[in-house]
Amino acid sequence: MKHTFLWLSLGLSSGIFFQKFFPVPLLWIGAVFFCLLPSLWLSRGSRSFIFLLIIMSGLLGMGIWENGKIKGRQEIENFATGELLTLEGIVKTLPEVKQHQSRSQVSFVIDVKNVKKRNERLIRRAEGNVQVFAFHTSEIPEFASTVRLRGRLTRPEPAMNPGGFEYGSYLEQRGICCVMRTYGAWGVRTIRKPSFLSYQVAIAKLRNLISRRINQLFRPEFRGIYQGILLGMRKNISADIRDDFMKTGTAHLLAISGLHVALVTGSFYFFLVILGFPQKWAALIGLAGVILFTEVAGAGVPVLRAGGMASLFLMSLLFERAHFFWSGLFAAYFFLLTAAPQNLFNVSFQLSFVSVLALILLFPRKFREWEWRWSETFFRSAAVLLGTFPIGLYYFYTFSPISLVANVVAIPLFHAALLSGLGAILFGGFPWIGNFWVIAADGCLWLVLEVIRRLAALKWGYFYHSPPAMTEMAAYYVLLGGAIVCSKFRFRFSKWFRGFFWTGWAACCFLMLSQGIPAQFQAVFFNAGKNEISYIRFPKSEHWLFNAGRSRPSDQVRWIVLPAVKKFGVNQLSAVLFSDTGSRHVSGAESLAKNLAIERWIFPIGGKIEQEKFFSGYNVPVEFCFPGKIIFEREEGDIRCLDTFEGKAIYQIRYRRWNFIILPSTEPVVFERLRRHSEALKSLDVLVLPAVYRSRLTRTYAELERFLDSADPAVVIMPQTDPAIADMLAFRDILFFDTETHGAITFSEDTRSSLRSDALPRGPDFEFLTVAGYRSGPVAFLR
Amino acid sequence: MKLLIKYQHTLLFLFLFGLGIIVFSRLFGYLPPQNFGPNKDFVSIGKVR
Repeated sequence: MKHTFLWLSLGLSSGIFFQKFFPVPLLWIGAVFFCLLPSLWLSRGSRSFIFLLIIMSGLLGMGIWENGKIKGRQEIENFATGELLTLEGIVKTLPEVKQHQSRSQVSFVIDVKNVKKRNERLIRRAEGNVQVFAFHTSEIPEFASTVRLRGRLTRPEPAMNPGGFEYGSYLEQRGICCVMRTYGAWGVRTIRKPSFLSYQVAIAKLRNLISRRINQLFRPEFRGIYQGILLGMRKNISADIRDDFMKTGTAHLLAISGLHVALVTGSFYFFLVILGFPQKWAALIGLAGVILFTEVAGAGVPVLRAGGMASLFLMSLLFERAHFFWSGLFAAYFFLLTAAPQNLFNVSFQLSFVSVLALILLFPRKFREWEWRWSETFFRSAAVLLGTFPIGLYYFYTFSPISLVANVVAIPLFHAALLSGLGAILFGGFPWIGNFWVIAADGCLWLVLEVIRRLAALKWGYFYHSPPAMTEMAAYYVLLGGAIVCSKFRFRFSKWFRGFFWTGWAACCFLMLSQGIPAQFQAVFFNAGKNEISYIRFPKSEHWLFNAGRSRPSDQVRWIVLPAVKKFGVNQLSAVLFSDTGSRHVSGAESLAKNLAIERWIFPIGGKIEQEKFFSGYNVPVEFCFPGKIIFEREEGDIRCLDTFEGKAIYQIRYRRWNFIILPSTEPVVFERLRRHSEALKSLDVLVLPAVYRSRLTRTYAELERFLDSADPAVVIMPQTDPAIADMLAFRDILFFDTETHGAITFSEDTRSSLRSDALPRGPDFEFLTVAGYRSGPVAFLR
Repeated sequence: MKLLIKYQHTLLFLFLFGLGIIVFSRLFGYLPPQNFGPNKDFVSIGKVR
């Protein structure tokens, strides 16, 4: 029987998939499994064996998925209330240190053994894995040491904005339930050091050693990259570099991918052969090398895949067995899934296997030839792009045609940098030779970064696109698979089928990429802490952003605006309007200009702005708005500057009969100014208030109350809730939503996606705006 | 190696059987899962200081 693991993996993954979406009671699965066992035994040697094998491995997959769910439940979750706790446990990962100016942060995972609450005298046993962030700690714990932590334990924050990063599910995939944050010197204390004799401790020491060596040898901006590609520690790669690689479709180079493992192993093996080692000895030493490298590289999913495949390849040389490529690939697949079934829904797992499959299936010829040609590399990266672009669109909302060129240039250069970096680490201590390696590594890496930076700056190189639907993804892969099968095997009418599949596939590609942004009006008020950022879409692809957010301490454009805007498929903003010129609204402009095409900045007149930056830095024209200026006008609606004062602007957005007003602050003068525009207030639907600061509280309440007596909005939106304002609004029957509890609040005409039809009044001419919170779902509608 | 090929079906059977025993016995509670479920009673193992 050929390709044993192919069948096993097929069964296993379909079982996992089935059990996730259509759960079957456990007893049934077990019963069927054990009933089928005798027939599997009896069918040995017959043709039905394979079918039974597939079915049984499917049942096993269902069982393994259930088992994974049980493992995922952890006792420690019960303590994740945010109060002060003391935890004791064993450090499970190598602590990573991130230094930013005077701030330092150490992150690692611990396996908790017991817990003590602050006001209790009991020590309680509770088990589970916890991700720890220790800020300004005085000691960095060693791997495998027992530590005592004092801090606050919380559940990971859910995503609050569209396209936001689901940290919770990311941690869940790694078997972690909660996050612990400790502050200050007393946050982390080591209470027991690990034993010297442990294999894992030795590996961790080696990794630590290499990481320190990298810090000694390379320039600061390259350190993070080498730590990322050799050790799997990606904390210190600068965000700009990561962005550039992402845009050019070469992000796989920055993570340790299978390619790196294959390259390191391959060159090690050939080096040994060239040195005159007999093939078997070379294979044996190579095998040891692979295992060591996999361990040192942090044993992530792609590394394990490639490491497994490489070691099977070397073992086949060792035992003089013809090497079955497929067996190697699917053996790795099978064991990775058995160990952790949730891997099947993990991006790097999917990308890793799909890209290898695409590489082999779509580009089968000349696989054994060692001759290297530009065209071949080009077609290979095209094959990978075709195989993986729906996954890329689904998770990262980016499609980069430039990756064809970027990969051809970057892969060889990057690998030269990787190998010379490895050489530098090994021989860096020797005079002359060491210098040579370090200079070579520096030069190669500098060249790659420069090339990637230039390619990423090309505007046509990449574009953002809304993610495809599940059905589209399924259709894409089924059609592509069908086309490949029909091209590989000849049977009756196979030509016709082939034609059908390829045409269908092309149509599917076209459908996926041609789908534009929906034409409906949409207004999104993001959850951005105390800050207010909003996005307005008018029909016919007019996109507007109000405020750019701050860049410190965390870059709000990167974490909040960009993911959402990418998910909507927006590549160009008609304008960014600022409600004032404070740095909390303006400082994000830099990363906005880097990642999106922006037609103009619009500032309220009278504000102070950093002249040179805005007038020359970004190549985006600056405009000023004054009271009464109409910024944009269409028959469906308009955006206008209602009033300005002291460099702040009140904006009004009208769409059909709906009327939004965005306030820059809650100073008394704002309400004073507003009251002059009685016409605009007549049919006010949505009032967007900024966060209320404590110092101005009493005046604000009084002014707001007076204002509400004259205007009567249907909905009020605020970044954070304020009990007094909430009461005031409830008393007047005004709906009140804050983005802190509801997540980003969206007003949209698009009713299909956001609201179930039975909750809505129906009728042919019934028009309404749906109000939906990203966390809480649809909450209201405006007639 | 030849034996391995001759008895491959038997080996596969044994492999699946073993894996099945491990997975399902854990599921039905004969072997403890790696972590306990939530809200099991907590064990006090002493007082602090």
